Amino acid sequence: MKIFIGVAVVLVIAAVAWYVVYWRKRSQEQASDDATQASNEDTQPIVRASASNGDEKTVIDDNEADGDDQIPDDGWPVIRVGTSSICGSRKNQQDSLYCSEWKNRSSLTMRGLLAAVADGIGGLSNGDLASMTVAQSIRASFLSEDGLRKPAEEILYAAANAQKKVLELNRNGKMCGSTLVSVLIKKWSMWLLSIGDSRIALYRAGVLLTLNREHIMLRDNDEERAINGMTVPSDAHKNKALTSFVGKENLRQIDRTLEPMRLLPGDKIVLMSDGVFGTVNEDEMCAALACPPEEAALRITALIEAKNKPAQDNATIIVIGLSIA
Amino acid sequence: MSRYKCTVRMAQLIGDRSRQEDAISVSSNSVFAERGLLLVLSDGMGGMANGDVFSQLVADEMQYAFLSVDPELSMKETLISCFDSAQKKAAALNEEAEEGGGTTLVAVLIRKRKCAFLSVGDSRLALVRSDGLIWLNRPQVMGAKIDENVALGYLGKEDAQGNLLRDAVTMFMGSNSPISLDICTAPFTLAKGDRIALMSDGISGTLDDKELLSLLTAKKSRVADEVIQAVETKKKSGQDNGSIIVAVVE
Repeated sequence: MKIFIGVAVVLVIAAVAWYVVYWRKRSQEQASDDATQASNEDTQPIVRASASNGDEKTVIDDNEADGDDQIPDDGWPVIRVGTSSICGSRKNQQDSLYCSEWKNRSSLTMRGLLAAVADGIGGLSNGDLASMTVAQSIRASFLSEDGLRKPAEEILYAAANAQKKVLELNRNGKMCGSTLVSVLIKKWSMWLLSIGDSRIALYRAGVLLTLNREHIMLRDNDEERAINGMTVPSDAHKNKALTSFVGKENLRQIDRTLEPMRLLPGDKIVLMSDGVFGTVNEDEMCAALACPPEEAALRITALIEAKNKPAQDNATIIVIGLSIA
Repeated sequence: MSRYKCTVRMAQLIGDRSRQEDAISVSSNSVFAERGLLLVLSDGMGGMANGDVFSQLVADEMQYAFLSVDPELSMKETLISCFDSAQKKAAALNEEAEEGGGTTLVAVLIRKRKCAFLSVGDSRLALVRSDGLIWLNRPQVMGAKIDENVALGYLGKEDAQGNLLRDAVTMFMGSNSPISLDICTAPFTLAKGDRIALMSDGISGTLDDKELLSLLTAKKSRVADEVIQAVETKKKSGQDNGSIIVAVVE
């Protein structure tokens, strides 16, 4: 009987070990499927940068080094993307990001570009799991689109998929939540969707314009009032607390555009978690954004690190630049 | 851009309706230095009675409140304070009036080099920057909510089919339910050459983005009139009241 139990235990341990190895291998393979790698080693389709992350970096670049020699006259912009993600003074990284292919022109023109930043809620546990789940479900949704949906719907259903997956985590006992900012770009048109307090901004004419709404408590408030779509509960005292997030039961507050926003050559779209705009001001941001996207993203996180704020939050940024050639 | 000038032009048309139920108001130059510039547009709901009374009340009350709020308040707090005042008056009017009433609201505050905005209902706010048109506010209409509820699984797709409700405005001034404001995340910096346009849906429902962009970049002295003329030229049957305020930053 004892032998039987012993064998059963060994088998269970072996099965668990095999599954963990399989899962890690599978997630590495999935990360490399996108093949959206820029030459910068820090860029991946899904990134969770942290000090101990070295072994998870899988950089496979299927793209030609400099992209196409001749830009075909297909009505699509040339898109360049810069990404950067730092821990700040936090123990671990709870932000995640996703950006679909931009170098491979036929991939880009087939589906467009979808980019997202997710900031795991630190107050709940498993913030990193939540944001990673959001990034992965956005990606999965995007890659499975058959082109029949209108773009405004496509970005909405990607978010709905993320909501479903994080709710599943919650129902399995892993209470967690995350913000989400996402943009979908097709030719020169853009749609955006946001839940929570991360930001999407447009850099044009040398200034920055925040495009999305924040789902936060506006101020301490004793009375019930509804701001940006939610009623402030009477027991809510914490100023700036999140009032909507991915993983919230009965999520209703989603900020999104219904009509396409027309982008212009020279525009840059910035997606960022609050660790970025909470530390870097508009002038500093615009000075960095005058550089090409890859450089701009790195400059901004370098600036955050240089400021060395005592309670610096995780900071993650995606800069998308559009030009004609 | 340390010094800048802001020129405001406005114009209205009645369209095919029997009366003008839009109202527009602009704060006086004399308070610009201390308080800034407040632009207000309000579209009375024609389906409800007394749309013109409501819109006029809101457009006026926003300006009265603007003159008496603490000038030290932040831009967003200023807008919300004015909104509170106007909404109180509109809700009170609703109680008294025999039939219910309501109106939309778009309010823009320009102070120093910054611009903040707030909106209730389905009137529109656009920014023209570097010859590109950007819609700033989120129109509060039923269709968007229905689609979200379907995507999130709260509503079946069949329930979303009926088109009748989609254009219905979900929030309005004068409502006796809590109002959900659409308010900017942060005041944004104005760039030289920016044009800010508040307009009722009588304008945005008749002219498309391309036409609007081309009209809004016209010579500043004519800009509001040219938009109205373009709407009139279309001779749309059932043309709604149309109003437009354009602020040109130079």
